[in-house]
Amino acid sequence: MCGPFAIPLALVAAGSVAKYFGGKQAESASTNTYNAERQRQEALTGQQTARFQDSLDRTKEMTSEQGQAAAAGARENTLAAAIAPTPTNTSYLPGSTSAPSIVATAQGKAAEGSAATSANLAHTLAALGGTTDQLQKTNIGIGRNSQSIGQLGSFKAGSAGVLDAELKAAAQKGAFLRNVGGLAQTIGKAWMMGGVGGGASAASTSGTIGSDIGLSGTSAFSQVSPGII
Amino acid sequence: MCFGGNKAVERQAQQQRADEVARQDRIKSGMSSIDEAFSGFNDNYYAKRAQDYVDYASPGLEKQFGKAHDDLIYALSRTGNLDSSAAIKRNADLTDEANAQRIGVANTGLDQANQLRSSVENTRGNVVAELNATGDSSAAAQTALRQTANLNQPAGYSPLGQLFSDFSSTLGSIGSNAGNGYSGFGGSARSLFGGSSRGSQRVVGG
Repeated sequence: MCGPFAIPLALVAAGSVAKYFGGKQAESASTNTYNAERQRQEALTGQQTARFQDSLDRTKEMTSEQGQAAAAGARENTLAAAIAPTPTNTSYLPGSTSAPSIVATAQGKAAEGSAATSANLAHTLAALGGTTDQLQKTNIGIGRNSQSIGQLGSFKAGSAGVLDAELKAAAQKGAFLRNVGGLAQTIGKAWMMGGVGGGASAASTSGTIGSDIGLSGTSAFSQVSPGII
Repeated sequence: MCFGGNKAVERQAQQQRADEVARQDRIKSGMSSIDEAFSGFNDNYYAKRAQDYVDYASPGLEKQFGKAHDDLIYALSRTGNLDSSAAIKRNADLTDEANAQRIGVANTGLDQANQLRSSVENTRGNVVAELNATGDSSAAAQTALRQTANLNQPAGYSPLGQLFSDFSSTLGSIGSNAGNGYSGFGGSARSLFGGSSRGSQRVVGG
């Protein structure tokens, strides 16, 4: 049942299986490496998107009536606080305490008018300045988001820069199985060739052994072949 | 060596990944340091800076206002118009002017604070850019501390100038305010018939 080709055939078959599983190991490692990097990139992209969305929200707030009113209101509060309290109708002029009632009434109206004028000035000035405040606030927020997005971009680039080396390393996975499998195949083939056509054809095949096991040239073969032939 | 693959390639890849992770960690750490160094520059800080300007400018403003008020009283007193509606109007004008100046000072204070806020943000941006370029968190932290110390130096402010000069310049016309065509303060009056001063009839109060 076991003919002269049983062992070399088994070697070739076992070599093929070993090479297959070695290749699968490398493939799996490469896939895992790629997926890990993909997840890192997606996570960083998610952070970038969140920052960008925040910038968009800030821009919307800046252009919204509520946002503008809030900014103007904050400035108006400060400006209105700077206005002096409305003076009493006669306190400002020495010797005017005995002013006729018509004068006192006129003073009261003038004081009210002054207060209204000042309040209006504060309101209009705050509306102008509030827009600037809101714009500055938005710009600072967007600027910081831009810094973060750029920083995350550099993280992505740096991480992606490592991927090439990691894929090369992943390709090394299963190398033992592939190399041993390749060696077994080569030996099996050489054995069969030797059995069929003699030593000459075996010698012609043996040149591939060195490359299968990761060595180069005839010197490698010379290390292995004495035991084979 | 031959059958097990090239371990050096794997070690290099691991080292590169470790280096990159370390770089990102240094940048994150540097950002924390920068945020901490600049944490004092918050809304309260800028509000205080605005108030500092108001505190700086207000005494000068009030002093000038007091002088303009005195000048008004003297001018009204000279013409015997302290208890007149015209005096009330001039006083209201002065109050308006004073309030406008007070609002202006407060507004300038807010603008000063905004200007400072921009400077701080520019400085912060420069430190962040330095951190991103070098990946050196400790250097970025040192720079941040140095820059924030510089930003906390007191700024120079220009003198207020003559805030009530326009109003004061009109006080001389009290009692001689022919310029507005009225003689409400008992000074020179416009002529009823044309601009000539000849003739005996004059309009008082229009």
